[in-house]
Formats: sequence, C-alpha cells, structure tokens
Amino acid sequence: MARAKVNVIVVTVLLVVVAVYTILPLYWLVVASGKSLHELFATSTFVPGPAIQYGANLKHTFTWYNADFGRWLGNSFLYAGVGSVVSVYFAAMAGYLLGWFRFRGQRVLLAGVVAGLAVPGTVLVIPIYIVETRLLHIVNSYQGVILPLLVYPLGVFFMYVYSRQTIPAALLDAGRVDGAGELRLFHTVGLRLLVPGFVTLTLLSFVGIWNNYFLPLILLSKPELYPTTLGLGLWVSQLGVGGVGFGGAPPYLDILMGALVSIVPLLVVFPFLQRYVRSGILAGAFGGE
Amino acid sequence: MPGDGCSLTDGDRAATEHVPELGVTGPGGHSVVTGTVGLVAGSASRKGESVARQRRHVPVVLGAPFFILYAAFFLLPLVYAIMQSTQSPLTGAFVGDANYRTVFQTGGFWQGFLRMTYFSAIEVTVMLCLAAVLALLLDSRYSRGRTFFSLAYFLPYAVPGVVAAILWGFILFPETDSVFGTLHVHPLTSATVLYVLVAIVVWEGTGYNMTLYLASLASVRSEILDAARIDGCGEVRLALSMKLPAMRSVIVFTAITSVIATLQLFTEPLIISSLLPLSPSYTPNFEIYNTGFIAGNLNLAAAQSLVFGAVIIVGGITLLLATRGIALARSRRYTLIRRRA
Repeated sequence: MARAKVNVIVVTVLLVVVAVYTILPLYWLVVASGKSLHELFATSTFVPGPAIQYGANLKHTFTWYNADFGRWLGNSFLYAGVGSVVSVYFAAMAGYLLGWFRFRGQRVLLAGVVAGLAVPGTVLVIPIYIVETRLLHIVNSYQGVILPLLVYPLGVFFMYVYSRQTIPAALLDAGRVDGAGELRLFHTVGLRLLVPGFVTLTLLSFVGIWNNYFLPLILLSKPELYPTTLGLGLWVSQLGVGGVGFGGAPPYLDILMGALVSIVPLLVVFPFLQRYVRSGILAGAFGGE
Repeated sequence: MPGDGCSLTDGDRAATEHVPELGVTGPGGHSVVTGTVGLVAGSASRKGESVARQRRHVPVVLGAPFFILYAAFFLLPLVYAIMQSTQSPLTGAFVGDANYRTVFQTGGFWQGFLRMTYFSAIEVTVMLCLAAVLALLLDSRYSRGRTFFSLAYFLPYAVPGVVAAILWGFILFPETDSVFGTLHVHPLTSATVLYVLVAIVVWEGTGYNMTLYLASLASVRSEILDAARIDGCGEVRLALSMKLPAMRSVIVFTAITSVIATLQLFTEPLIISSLLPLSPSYTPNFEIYNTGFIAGNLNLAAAQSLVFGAVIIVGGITLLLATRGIALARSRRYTLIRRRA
C-alpha cells in the first residue's frame, strides 16, 4: 500500500505541474486586470497589487476610446448567438432530409456536404471576401458577417449521421399514419430527438464563432461592427503607436480587462461543452476530412 | 502470451473497442421513443425501409436554407475566386496562369508553408503526447481530483486565440512583465518566437484532445481492466498495452486535424507581431492576408488561397491513406471537430 501511496503522489505532482501551465496565464489575467498601470509594471507579476481596482478598470474599459467595448461585446453575442443557433437549425433540417429521404440528387447534395468538410476554413476567407465585395456588396454589414457563418457542412454531416442513429423510423411512420405533414413531423418529432446533438453543436459553434478572428478581420473595416476579438486586436495593434489610453500611456490595462470580460461568456458555457465532448455524443458522426 | 493478464484476446479486443453509443438520446428522448415504438412495433419497419423512403413527397424545403447559403457562400466564392485568380489585379484582363506562376515562383508563400510544416511537426507531437499522457494518468487508479484536473486542462480551449496570444505575449515580453523584466531575461525574441507560439498553441489545444481521448477510454470495459489487474498487470502496462490501443484511432484523427489546423495558423502570430515584428510571410495565411490587404492584390491572394487549399486537401488525403491500414475503418466512429475558421 505504501507503494500505491507513492504512485498517487507522483501522479498528482505531474497533474499539478500541467495544471499550473494551463491555469497560470488565466490567473495572471485575473490578477493583472485589477492593477493600476503603474502596479502592472512595478509589482510582482503573480501577486495582486496593493490597491485592487477592478471597478475603475472595468469602467474605463467600457468607456474609453468611443466606448466601443460594450458594442463589440454586443456584436459578439449577435454573431455567435445568431450564427450558432441558426446554422445548427439549418444543419439539422438539411441533415434530417439527407438522412431520412431518398430523392433525385440526394447523393449529389451529400457529396457537396462532404466536399464542404474537406475545404479548410481559412481557405474560403479570401474567396468569400471577393464575392461579398465585388458581387454582393455586403462587406461591412451585419449580414455580411452572419450569412457565411450559417453554412455549416460539419453540422449537416453530423446531423445526417445523428438523425439516422437517434430517430426511430417507427416513430416517424406512426406520425405519418396519424396524418402529420413532413415539416410538422420534423419539428415535433425529429427536432425533439435531436436536441442533445443540437445543443452540443450549438455550443461548439458558439465558441468557434466567438473566438473567430480571420473572417471578421477580412470582412469588416468599420470598428463599430467588430466583435470583441477584433476589438482587442485593434487595441493591441496600437500598443506601439501610443497616444491613447491612460494619459497617453499604452492601453495595457484595457486590453487585459477586455480580454478577461471577453472570456466570461465562454467560461459560462464551457462546463456544459466539456461534458458533451466527453460524453462521446459526437463520436460516430464524423469520419474524416 | 496466454496467462498474461496484459495481452488481449480477440474477444477482449472486440469488447475493448466497442464504442457505446453514449448520450445519443437523453433520458427524455428514450422515454418518448419506447412509448411510441411499442405501438408500431408490429409493422417492424427497419430504418432503411421507412415509409418515407417509398413516399413521393419529399420535404425538399428542409434542405433549402442550408443549400441556398451553401451555393452562395461556398460554391460561388470558390468558382468566383478561381475566375479572379486568372485575372490581372491591375486591368482585370485574363492572364491565364500568371498569378499561379507567381505563387510557385516566389518564395514568401512557401517559406511560410515550410515554417508551419516544421512548426506543426513539433507542436502536434508535443500537444498530442501531452494529451495522451494526461488522459492515461487521469484514467489510472492513482489519479485524484479527476474532475478538477480535466476541467483545468480543458479551460484554455474556451479562450480565444487573440486572448491566448495577448496573455502569453504580455507575460513573456520583457516590457510588459516585471518578473522577466527584473531578471533581465527576454524569453520572447525573434529567435524564440516560434517556440513561444508552439507553447501557446499547445496550451490552447491539449485539454480538448485529452477530453476526446478520455471519451475513447470510456469504451475500455472496466471488467477487463480489473481482470488484467487481478492477473498481475501493472498500471503502466495496462495503459500501454490495453488503453493506448483503444485510443489509437482517435490519436490518428486528432493528429491529422491538428496538423491541418496548425498549418492555417493566423491569429496568434498576428497578435504577437504587434509586440515583435514578424516576417510578412510568417505563415501561409499571414502571407495571403498581406498579399490581399496590405499589398492590395486580391487576385494573387485568391490564387494563393486556392493553392493552399489544394495542398492541404492533397496532404490530408495522403496522411489519411498512409494511416488507413491502422485506423481508417475504425476511426469512422470517432469525432472530428475543429475550431471554425
């Protein structure tokens, strides 16, 4: 038993070392965003400063620089909220259609979805920008950001497999015998059974869109349309410029406080996300690139 | 090795690799299903022979929203980008493969590509080994506080790349940090920046991959593990000869998707470049961004994007085929989720 105890200690030490690596930067963020600018550079990195001023820093972050930050947060909620829910809803409909109906062109559509999976996301960024700026004229608009996000081939493919696994044919047939229309059947029977997968995909998609940087960077040049990630990037890019922030000082504190605020919504959904990923609910759906 | 508790018989292996369909339906879902299935069980229609399959009425409208948007924001951009990539940025005249020749003949894009290939070789190896070791440690009988640790490791996955780069950049950059500043140590220099980026990306992704590995370990039946333990199999051998094989196909898939994701790295180097100047062709997407938006040559950027996509797809398929013998058939069960670009 003594040996088992030693093993427990060794394993725990290893686990703690890695936990320090994953948690320490976030701990530093929490500590540093409560300091004054002077303390940030003068006091010990991982110890809270003598005067803790989260309130003042928070207020400054939301009010300085045209008070853009609140708007960016709102934009992030709009893009990630609408983008995730609507894209997964569309994906559920399309996946259910491909999974439960055989019709002319069904295989072509399915192949199209798989092709959509194969193309790496960032490869589409420039092509989407070119179409939006030269054909559709919707760059620098909410719809210009949201519409491309609604194309979620991974979601369709997941729902295609998942709806076959989850929905019993007999249940749909029973509904048909009762005279329910196909659309109603999907919404009252199919969608209800797809809820666990729907929630999982929506959470993943929400986090993905919230964290997205490249696509909105290309599609937006008006700061008032920026999501939080782009806004923080804008502030960081001004560090070298100077002349903004606290009495002309670089906006380190606002960047840190903004970064802290920007991850709060993710931390809220994140335990659920981990539970779903760990439950293996996504297993079975995805075969490869 | 008969009698050695650590070796797997074929029967054991089948049981070990059985993937339970966990959480496919919630408890509520199940009750709905069983309640109604009972009524129509007599018709015994198999899934594939559902009434719907024989019906003429197909609710095509269900697919309309997705496929219309797919046409407008996937097919159209690709086709239009191909057209634009054959035009001159100045006159708009058709120039054939001139832009493509520029892509292949100038070094910037390929420098970035080579750099990111080297980068992903290191990053993916470190990240996945760490993830596998952590999963095995957490799954061993000697681990304590599993919930806490698995949450702690997964935490950085919820942090945007921008924020991750800001955190690590500020902590390691001498001007913004008092510890390294007072020590006169400069961990973030142009010589170390590649490895700092490795540390950032490993930090972001390890917990996510570990969570997938833990999910795959749930399929190793505890009775088999107990039987092996009774036969005198130690935890280390248990991990290496029973658990690791169960994780194999997930590891292959996370390796391929991680390489693909790493090659596309953009945000983290962009943020770091505000603290420390980086080459405009540091990564392929960096180069594409600079071509299209700093140099203003969208036609060439389109050609670069298409070449980049083709290289990734061909490379991905090659990797997939190369590992097919070991994993393709089984890996179909496993999950593959990437951050959306």
